Amino acid sequence: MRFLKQIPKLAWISGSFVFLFVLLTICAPWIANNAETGHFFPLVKFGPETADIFETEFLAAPDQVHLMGTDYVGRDVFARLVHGISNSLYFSLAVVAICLILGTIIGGIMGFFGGWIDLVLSRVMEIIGNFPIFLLQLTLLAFLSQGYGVLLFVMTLAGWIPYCRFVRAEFFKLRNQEFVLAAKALGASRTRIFFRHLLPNSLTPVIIYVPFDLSSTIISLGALSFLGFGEPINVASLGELLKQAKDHFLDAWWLAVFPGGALFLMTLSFSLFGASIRDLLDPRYSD
Amino acid sequence: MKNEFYALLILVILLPLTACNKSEKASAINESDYSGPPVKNDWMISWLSANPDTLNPVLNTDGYATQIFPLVFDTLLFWDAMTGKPTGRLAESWKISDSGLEYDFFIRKNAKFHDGSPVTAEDVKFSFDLIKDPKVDAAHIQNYFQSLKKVEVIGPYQVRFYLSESYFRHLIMLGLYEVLPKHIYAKGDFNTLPQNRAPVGSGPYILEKWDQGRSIELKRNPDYWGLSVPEWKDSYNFERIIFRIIMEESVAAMALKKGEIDILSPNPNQYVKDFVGPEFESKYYRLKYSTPDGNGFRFIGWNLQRKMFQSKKVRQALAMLLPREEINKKMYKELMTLSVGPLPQGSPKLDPSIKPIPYDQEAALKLLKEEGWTDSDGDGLLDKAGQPFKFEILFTAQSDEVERIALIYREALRRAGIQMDLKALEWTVFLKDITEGNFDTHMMAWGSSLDSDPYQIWHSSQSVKGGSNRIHYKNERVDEILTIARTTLDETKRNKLYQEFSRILAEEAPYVFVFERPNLLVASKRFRGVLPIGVLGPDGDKFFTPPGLELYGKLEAQ
Repeated sequence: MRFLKQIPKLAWISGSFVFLFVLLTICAPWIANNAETGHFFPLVKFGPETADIFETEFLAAPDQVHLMGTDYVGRDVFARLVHGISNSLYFSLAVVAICLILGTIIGGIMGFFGGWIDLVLSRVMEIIGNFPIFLLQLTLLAFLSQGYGVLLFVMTLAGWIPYCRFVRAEFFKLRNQEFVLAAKALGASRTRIFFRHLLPNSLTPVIIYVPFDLSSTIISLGALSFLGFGEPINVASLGELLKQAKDHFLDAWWLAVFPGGALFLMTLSFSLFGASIRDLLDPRYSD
Repeated sequence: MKNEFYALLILVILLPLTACNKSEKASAINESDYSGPPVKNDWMISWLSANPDTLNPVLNTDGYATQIFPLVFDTLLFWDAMTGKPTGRLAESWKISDSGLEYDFFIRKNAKFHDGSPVTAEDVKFSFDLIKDPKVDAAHIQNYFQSLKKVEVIGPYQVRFYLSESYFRHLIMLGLYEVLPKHIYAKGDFNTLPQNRAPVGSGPYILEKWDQGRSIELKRNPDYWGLSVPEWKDSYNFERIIFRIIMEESVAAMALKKGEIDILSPNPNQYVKDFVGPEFESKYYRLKYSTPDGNGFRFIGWNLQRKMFQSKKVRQALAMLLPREEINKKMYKELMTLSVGPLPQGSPKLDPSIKPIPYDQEAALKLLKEEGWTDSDGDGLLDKAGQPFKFEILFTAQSDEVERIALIYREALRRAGIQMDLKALEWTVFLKDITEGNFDTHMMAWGSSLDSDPYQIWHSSQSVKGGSNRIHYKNERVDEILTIARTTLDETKRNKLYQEFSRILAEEAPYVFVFERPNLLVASKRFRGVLPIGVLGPDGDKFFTPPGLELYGKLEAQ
């Protein structure tokens, strides 16, 4: 219990927001859906993708039926918002997971073997890392067909680099320490040293980086969708709602306020949550 | 029809100097509430939606500069906005041989370029010869001048064109082509001349400054030869005409409301959304007008090489499934006219008995059933021979209007058991896909031009790569009509032929003709001469500011 008391307030608040968003993400189909089943669920009887072209007005202001109004083809903004949060979190998690695995493996190989392998991969990393990556993403997305596969590829293109740097540095730091040398002297195999001794001990900075990366991935996914290059058209996303808001900011404030607020809250809480974890895990940051 | 690329862009930025005939009754402006002669030192600030790549009319392909060319350059003829009739500009008169193969133009002897040198037949010949010059990047207009065999200088002020066939648009093509001064443009490589950035013509305005990506500023040519022509005495009343380059439509709308832009042609969305309200209408003319050739139309075109679209009934059913009335009501506040064919309703080329196809899901499903499309496996999608009714629509990502229509259509089709996937593409990728036939269906818009010729879009010979018949439409009678109509110089006979053509199109439904694009104009009420609107639209050359209302001339005097 004393440990819990040491956790600062900020961590509690940001943590609960993170929990809330995760909950929202998982429960999205029960929150807003147009499938006609259940008395209580779904809470809102509108799906994110079906436009009520005949039934509702386009760009209608929020009321009791449409809690956050309707968008430019009569879709329920609340439903799109919930599913937008859900989609962006799922997708960003996938991006971060791929980057993490890829970066860890490559960084591990670099740090473990060193030598020319490290040299070659370092140059590759520098080349990709120094590219104006957002512009590259836009160019690629403009010419490749729209879809999750392409988007995933484009977003992980440079995302693995930070993970790679962390793991590589940790490996370099650890590989000549006594416990590793001892393992070597005892005749442990390379695989064992890699997976049992080095890898678990180099993951702390990686774990700390995840929430920050998640929050920036959500932002860049939002930015891509805002520019029309993100998720496939018609899929609910925060960026897409904001794109609509750009053309209707004078006549439909709800298109800007709700998704903008959600994006802000989401990235802020993930960043703060990340900062809290870092403070807790890293003695250098604690005061 | 012009080159489609060009045409689409013209659509977006249609200028006050082109086309119209009925004005909206709503804005009744008292034309007589001023006295005295027009002020000559006011400015007019207009809008360009992008930076043009060049100000050379022969090389320009992007269409953004089409508002500027008629101000800086002169053409042999112009079509009077008030009467809609061809009138001499550089040409004092013209003569067409009985065969329709020789056109003679007699050039005004007092016409002068900006540098004071006279406009002669040599300059006219030089300008037209550029089109066929292999060293000049004019491939985009060569297509229109294929029948031009030779240009001959008969005398210093007389020029003759020899054509290989008679064609009703020849006078328009020859008459509306800009004449460049030979002694300036013949020096050096035409494609890279410095004059492509600083044009020299014979028009009423001179380029003063081109601030790349920000503005293009024109200054009145004080020695304009045309001022000596009595009919044009009251024209060109602005000391400066400034084109502000603003890429974002909503920003341009704001600039207009703040008074930083005086005049622009809004898109229908803006017109019903941004430019409304009593306060706005007290300060601005808000005009919607019709012209004989319209302002183009939006369409959904089926790739007729795909098997599922080869049936006429299926296409008719698909047309019935687009809820245009609903879109018009909810998106456009009833501004748009439902289109029935490639020409605006009321055009003499269109059979007046053709009525727009209403949204009717039941009738559509009946037609589809007759063709064998039913939901036999109960998955909610229509199918035929085990194939579900599923296709993809391509459109360009740049406009939110297109996306909205596509989303609404998708939903309406979904309710009828048809799955349409949406694919928004960048313009270049889109164009590549549709020219290569790499699409199921696509949504686009065609612009219009004076007395447009549907040949390029509908004749089966144009379904080759680079042609505009991208849906591979082929109908023998249509081919026949379009070929005969080209050489039929008698307008009534030609209109009869086109009426038959429009009936065939309405029956065959190769496109879903969505909406006619209305001609729209928003302009500061400080200007007079905007009303009455002529046959081809307001006459921009005759706009003026009455004394006391000028904004800019005063500033400069201080």
